[in-house]
Amino acid sequence: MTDNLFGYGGDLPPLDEGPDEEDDGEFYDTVNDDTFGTGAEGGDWVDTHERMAGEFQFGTSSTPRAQGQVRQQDNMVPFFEEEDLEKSITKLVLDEEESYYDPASRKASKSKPISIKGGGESSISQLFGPKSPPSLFDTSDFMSPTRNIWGSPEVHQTVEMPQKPAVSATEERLKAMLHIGQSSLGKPAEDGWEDPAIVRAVSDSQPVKKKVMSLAELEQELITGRKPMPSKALPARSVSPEIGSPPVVIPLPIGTPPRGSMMHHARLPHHAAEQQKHQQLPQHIQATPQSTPPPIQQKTPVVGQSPLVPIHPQQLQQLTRQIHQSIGGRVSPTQISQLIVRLHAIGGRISPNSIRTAVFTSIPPPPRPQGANAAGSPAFPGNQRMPFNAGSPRMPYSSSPRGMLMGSGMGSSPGANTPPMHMGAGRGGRFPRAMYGLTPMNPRIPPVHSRPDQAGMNRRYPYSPQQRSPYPNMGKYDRDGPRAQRQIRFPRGGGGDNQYHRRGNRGDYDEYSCLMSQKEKEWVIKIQMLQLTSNNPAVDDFYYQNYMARKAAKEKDREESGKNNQQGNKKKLVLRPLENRAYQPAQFEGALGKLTSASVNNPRQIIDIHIENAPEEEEGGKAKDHGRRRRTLLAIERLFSLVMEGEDVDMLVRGLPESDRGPLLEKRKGLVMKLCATLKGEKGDGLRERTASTLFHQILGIRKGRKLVSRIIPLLGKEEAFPLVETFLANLTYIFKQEAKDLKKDAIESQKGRLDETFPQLYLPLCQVIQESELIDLISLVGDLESQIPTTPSATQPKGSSIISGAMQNKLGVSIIMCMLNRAEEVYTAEETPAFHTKWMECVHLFAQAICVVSDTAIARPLGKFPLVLDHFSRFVSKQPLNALEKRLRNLIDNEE
Amino acid sequence: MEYMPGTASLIDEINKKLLVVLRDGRTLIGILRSIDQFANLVLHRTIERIHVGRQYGDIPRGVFVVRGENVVLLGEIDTENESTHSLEEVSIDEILEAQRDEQLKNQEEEKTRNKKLLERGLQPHGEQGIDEFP
Repeated sequence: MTDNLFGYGGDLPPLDEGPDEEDDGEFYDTVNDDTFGTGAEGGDWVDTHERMAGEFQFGTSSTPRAQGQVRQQDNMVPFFEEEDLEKSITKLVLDEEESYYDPASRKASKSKPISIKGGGESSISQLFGPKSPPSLFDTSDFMSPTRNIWGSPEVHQTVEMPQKPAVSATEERLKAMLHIGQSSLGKPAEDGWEDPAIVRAVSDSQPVKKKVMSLAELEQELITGRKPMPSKALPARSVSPEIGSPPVVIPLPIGTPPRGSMMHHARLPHHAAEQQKHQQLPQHIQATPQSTPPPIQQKTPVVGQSPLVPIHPQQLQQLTRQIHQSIGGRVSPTQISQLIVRLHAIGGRISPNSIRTAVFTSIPPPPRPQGANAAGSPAFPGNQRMPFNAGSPRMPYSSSPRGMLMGSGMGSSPGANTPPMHMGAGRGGRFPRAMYGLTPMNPRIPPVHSRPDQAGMNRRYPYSPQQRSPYPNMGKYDRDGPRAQRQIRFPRGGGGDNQYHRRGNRGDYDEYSCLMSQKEKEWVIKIQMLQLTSNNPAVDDFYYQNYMARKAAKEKDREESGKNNQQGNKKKLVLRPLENRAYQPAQFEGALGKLTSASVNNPRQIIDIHIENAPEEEEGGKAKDHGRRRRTLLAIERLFSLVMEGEDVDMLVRGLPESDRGPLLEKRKGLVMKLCATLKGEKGDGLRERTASTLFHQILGIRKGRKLVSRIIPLLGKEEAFPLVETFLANLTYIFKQEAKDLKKDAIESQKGRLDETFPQLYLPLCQVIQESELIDLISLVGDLESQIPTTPSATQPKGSSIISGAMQNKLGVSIIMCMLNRAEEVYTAEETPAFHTKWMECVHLFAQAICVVSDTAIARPLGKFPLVLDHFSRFVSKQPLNALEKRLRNLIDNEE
Repeated sequence: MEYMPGTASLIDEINKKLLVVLRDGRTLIGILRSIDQFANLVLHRTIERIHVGRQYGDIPRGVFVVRGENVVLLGEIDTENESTHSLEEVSIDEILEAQRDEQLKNQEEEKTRNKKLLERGLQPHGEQGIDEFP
């Protein structure tokens, strides 16, 4: 039944908390009567109440129905669970904060703050007479897990007050939390502030506030059996809390979150259940169901904040002492929780005023009062403070009376967190600092010590999943809670709150999670990537590349053998390709050495040896004679550097996807142009000019030059390479001569005769060019072959066939000729121009004639295989010479195979 | 599973609770807040955990900036199961006391070993000094 009555409806308009409403008073009356019996208390208590009452208006009618409900509750809820308590407490706290922050609520609330005339200690005694009515009901009755305390929609409906829309969510929540008061009457708790019931019980004129105080006292009495003593700390609490006010005395320890963050944390508890699973980070304060400290926390801050507070500190002290004593150094959650429960129960029973005070004090009973507060009473400066106080880390930890006192004192000044408090905390003072820092973060999370083992770690992290777990039952409330909180939060956050990032889960904040911005993270990643990304991996990281290639091969094998086994577990290195930046080595003309300007972007520059311009050889007029050979050698050097550069570029090009090759291809083109220009010599016609004076001729005369040619040819395109080959063939006799000379020299110099031949190197590139030639090209090559450049002007030129005969006795020569014939066989049929056919036929006859002249033993062994040669000869040559050819060539071909 | 190269892989660990072992043998537990390419770390809510035998004690250290070169290893702490270990937590004083005792013991052993080495004509070397790594 209670469930229905008290269900929480998020949509309900804010409750009217104004003192004007008398209906609510009725409810409280009945409750109070129930609890304390009519006129239970007299004497001091009554007097103080009367004084207080002067400020408030009360309704006097009592509803019998409410009483009945209360009793039913008693029957129904035998056992009070700690979890519920915690929830309620946290909710209360949160609500308070929210209400505090929510400007709307403030404005909306008609209720005036309860002002304590007495101020400090005296006020307490005045307000709360030593004699407080005993509570008839057990706390457990009011708060039972089985019932949905918070959630009954009915309550809200009853509570709905159209007049105060602004307060809305917060207030509603508060009301829901305060369900106890509401439940019985079905009316908003706010009214409870000026609850007539209490007044009536004592006297009509008694102020509600008295009752509140008396409740606290009652609690203490219940617990300790003695009356509360006025606390000396009271004056401190009298300090008016202001929201932005900086902490008074004690600076926050390192790692203490900023206030804004603290505020967030305070609200967090609502979300706890939801976030449990999500959050992995330890939280500063553990909110476990068992932990009892929370009530204390709440109390202390409340005291400081509210005018009523002065009285409470004493009570709190006593409570804390008792708890401390009973528990010893460490708080046993259950005991404390029980105490809290009692307090709660008492508070609930007592008039709304009492609840209110309790709220301020952060005692569970306050729920009702909170609602009232939420109503937006401007009078509650303390509420604003609440977040801070509540946030103060010590509170949860402090089980000791001292801590309590401090906390209360703190309440007045939000910023003042005293380390000693923390020291005293359950941990035995091990982590004074940490606690310190932590506490401010979650003011509202009551339970701290529930888990001794994790205490060290978890405490620090306000929002550990474990903390959340305590509230599995929260159900509706939980769901709605976070949202409501958020709504309130954001407006509030204004400047400060926004600085703290959300942690992704609803309402879960880790205010330090933003310490490293996304930009910074990306920067780090980029740096790492830069170190691993290379434009030329084969050169930059040869061994790693090889290693990875081998590894990949192995893995492939493994996969093939046992396919399904290892699929899932592989770790793969993420390598994002960086944007290809054209690498421009710094060039400082005239600088003596290369500047090493390594940077994040060019980490390799320091090892980049890059000679942009080879110094031009000085043209000395003196040594013209042997200057010629020298110049040739220098030219070869220059060409070689160009060739190597070109080869590097080639390698790069091969390593890049098509789309990225553009700039490199440009570079390569430039290099090739340079190469060709150099080869052609100063006149630019070096390759066409068939004289012995050309640079190319000179180069071919030097072994190194021939090697150079073998490396240049692959770099060139067909258009550039073909003239080169033509010129090469035109120089063939000279080349043979020079090669023979060099080899002879080698043989003499190195007795063992390891000859450094260039022909095998030359053969492949030449052959490649020939293989790409068409018939017409072959014809022109034969022409080149026939017209050998005279080595010396005076020398008599051999005729075409004799040149070929000579070439046949050289392995490079025979290879070239065979290669040409082989290629001819491939392209002959495809060639459609008859003129070429006849021309080529002449060439073949020339070859056949030349080959037949050479004895079969004199023919050198070719460097490759040319299986088509004889077939080709058979096309043109008559039988007899063909037999002769076959006799000579078959041998070579067969041997090849 | 993919991972980033080098220290970039630490980015995944940010805002997680890590245990970091330093080169001097200290063990820190804190929330990783920031890193850079050198694996310099900023640990938040750091505690220094001292293990002696099966006991351990935590000393709160707050924010800890660790120069990357001093990091021997680091790993994420399973916050859900971290309380399920079989070690016994003791107070700071106790653990410091235990640590001191252990160090004294090690020193003694070192001395006797060195003495014996010298007796046998061997020059003792510092390898097995009282290192932070027991």
